[in-house]
Amino acid sequence: MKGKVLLMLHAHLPYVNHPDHPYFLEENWLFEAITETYIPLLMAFERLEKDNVPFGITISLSPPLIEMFAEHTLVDKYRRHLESLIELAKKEVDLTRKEETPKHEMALKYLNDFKEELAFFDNYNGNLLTAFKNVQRTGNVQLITCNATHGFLPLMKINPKAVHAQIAIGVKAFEERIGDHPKGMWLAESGYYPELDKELATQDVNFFFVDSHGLWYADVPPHYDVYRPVMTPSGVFVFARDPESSEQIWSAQLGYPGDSNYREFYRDVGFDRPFDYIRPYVDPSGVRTNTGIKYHKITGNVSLGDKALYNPENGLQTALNHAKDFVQKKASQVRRLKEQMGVEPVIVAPFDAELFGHWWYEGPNFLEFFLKESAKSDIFESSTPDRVLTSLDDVQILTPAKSSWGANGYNETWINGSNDWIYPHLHEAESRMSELASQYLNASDSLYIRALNMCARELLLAESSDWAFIMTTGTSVEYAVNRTNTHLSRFLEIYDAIKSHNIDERVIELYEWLDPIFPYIDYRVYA
Amino acid sequence: MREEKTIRQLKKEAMLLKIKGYYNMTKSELAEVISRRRMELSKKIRELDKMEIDELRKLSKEFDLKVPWKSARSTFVKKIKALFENLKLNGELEEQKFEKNKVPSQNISSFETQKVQNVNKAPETVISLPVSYFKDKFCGLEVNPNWIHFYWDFSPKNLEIIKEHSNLVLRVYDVTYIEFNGINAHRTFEMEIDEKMKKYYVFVPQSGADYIAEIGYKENNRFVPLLRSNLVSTPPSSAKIAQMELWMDLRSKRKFTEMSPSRKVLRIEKLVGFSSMPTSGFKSGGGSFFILSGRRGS
Repeated sequence: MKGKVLLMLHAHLPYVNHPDHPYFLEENWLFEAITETYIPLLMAFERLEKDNVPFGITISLSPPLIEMFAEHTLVDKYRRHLESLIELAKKEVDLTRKEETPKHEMALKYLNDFKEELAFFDNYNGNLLTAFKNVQRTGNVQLITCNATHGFLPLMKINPKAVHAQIAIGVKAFEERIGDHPKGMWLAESGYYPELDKELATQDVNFFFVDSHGLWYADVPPHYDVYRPVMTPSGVFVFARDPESSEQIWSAQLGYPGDSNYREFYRDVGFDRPFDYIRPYVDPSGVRTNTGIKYHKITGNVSLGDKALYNPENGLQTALNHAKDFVQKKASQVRRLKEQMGVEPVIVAPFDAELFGHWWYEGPNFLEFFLKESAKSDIFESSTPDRVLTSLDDVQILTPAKSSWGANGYNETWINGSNDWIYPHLHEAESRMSELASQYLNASDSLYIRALNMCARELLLAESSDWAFIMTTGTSVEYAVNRTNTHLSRFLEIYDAIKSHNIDERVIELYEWLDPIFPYIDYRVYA
Repeated sequence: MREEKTIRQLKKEAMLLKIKGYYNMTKSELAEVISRRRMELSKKIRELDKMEIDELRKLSKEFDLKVPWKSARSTFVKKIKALFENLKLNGELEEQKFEKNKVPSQNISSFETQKVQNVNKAPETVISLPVSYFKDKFCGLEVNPNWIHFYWDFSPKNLEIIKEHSNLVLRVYDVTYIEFNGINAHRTFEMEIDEKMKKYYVFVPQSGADYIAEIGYKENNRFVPLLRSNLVSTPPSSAKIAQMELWMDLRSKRKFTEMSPSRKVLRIEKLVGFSSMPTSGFKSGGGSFFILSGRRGS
């Protein structure tokens, strides 16, 4: 039996949707990720399918991402965004004729790639969920869900009903939009605490992922370290992150994405071109932003101004070399582990999906090469949790330890001096939500039901771990603070309206329009 | 005045002024090249506002100013001006000036408790959330194996009581494996707190342990609790000692045990070490979409 390598890509962005603005800077997070990560990955999977390459990969689609894919105003905005990118690429093709040849060739490549992406997007009528559903049909790609709005559950556990709702709505969103019950769940930030598995078990979630020390410090030491799935006493399977694989990709010195031949992320025409020329393609307020058209390579340890021009062929060749190197490293790791273990190891390598393509331009090519090359290996195969679990004869039962994949492995990214002010408010809103749900369990007035559902949406949006995370990292802090305040104050406003029997339908209607996430939500999940 | 400087001081000054080849110069050579350089720079400072962005970038690079390459003109000008003024105004550049930038590492373990230093309040926006919900609330949240965050809020009734008692006390009980009855804790920790802080971070010695806290006041040396927190379990930070393993045969769904197992995989654990105490951890995963922005900028 071959060893197994489980690549797990966690695709997630916070829910950013501002239908009241024709342009909103932070909506570009989604647009950039679609152009640079999601569509390139989907195209890579389709090519592998077409070539009949046997492979396995897992993708967790977070419910906010799923909801954004399904949101028409965002889909329309994205299409316009891509069209304007194509327009810019055309101008770049003209402009670079008089500049260095590699630049011109790269401009042609961008134009071609963007056009192909638009064709791909239109082919699915702008519905990327259909494209994802399509690639999972053969079982090579396994889609799983995530808890509702990516709330960080270890800091929510004092309100078990709020945790229950996060899990239940995560399952529900997947069922509604993908059409299947999700077998597995990626817990936001890999945040786990004992007891959480019981909640997953009651909702029929068959497996989840923890960080390495979740198993290392478990109540009983894991027999095979992190290299075989285990099962919790409540019957849910657990996969744990292999530190070696992450290190090989991420490490600042040795990691692949830092190779000098790869494209430089920070050098963008949005900053390089004269302002009058670039103005229509950056923030309308006049702030220069990234456009996605970049001509330079990482080059080495030089300042951005001294970066050399990018050569796409070298970039691609480097990605191929790195993929081959990674295959070799996985093969020798599997061989080594198998010798020690006596059974074939299961190596789990989870990553943020947006690393591939958005940050690491050649990342989707790297993955495609890796999956192709590993199909030739007789030491290991790329696989999915479903395939691994069906091949399992026996499993160790243990309870993983509290853990997350954040800095230092616990909660400090999501609770520290920069963001701890949110928790008194979140916890208060969570307990008020449960109070409302119990009190109005049998509500039949449609306006009350709408108001109660809207309360649930505002609470869920405020709970996104992204806001606390952004406050810690220090970029876009103002936006994250605003979003937290906005959702919490809307929650409190509607709460008061319900309690004082003074619900203004126009207000509810406005908020339903502004935050249309989870149209199928049922507030009773909080009771 | 300048003549009175030692050669070491002059060399340092030349270094800060980014004079090439200063190291092999004699004292008089140094003095001359420094004064020429100063004249040249004071001319530059007058031209700053007219300079092209490329020139500004070059200049800031020359002086190792950490200005992101994409920054606006005005940022470059501001930073360069600040530096030049620093150089000119002081006439001499003292070592300490530059060492000030080095943040002394903080030895966390020497503190039993630590007040929240930078209370990053939400920036002033139109929206403001309630300062208090006027309810009794005392919540503990584990931060990592050794730190617990507590926050609290009081009902009007308790606020009245607190007003009459100046010394508010926070107690933390180690109640690992205990049905806590108020007096049977393994260890009890105590500290005075400022009620208005509304939150504290507390260092606890034991990872993988259970804690309960109380807020109260002292009356005639007796502790009178007002609020009790939820149970807070710090996460474990080390492996448990191998014991009996429980397994399940997935075909027959039968459970079986394995005695005295030997570890199958030799794991080399990461050794962490720095030449001085680190100030903060770096990010290892999660949310890379945001975290990378601004990280690799020059």
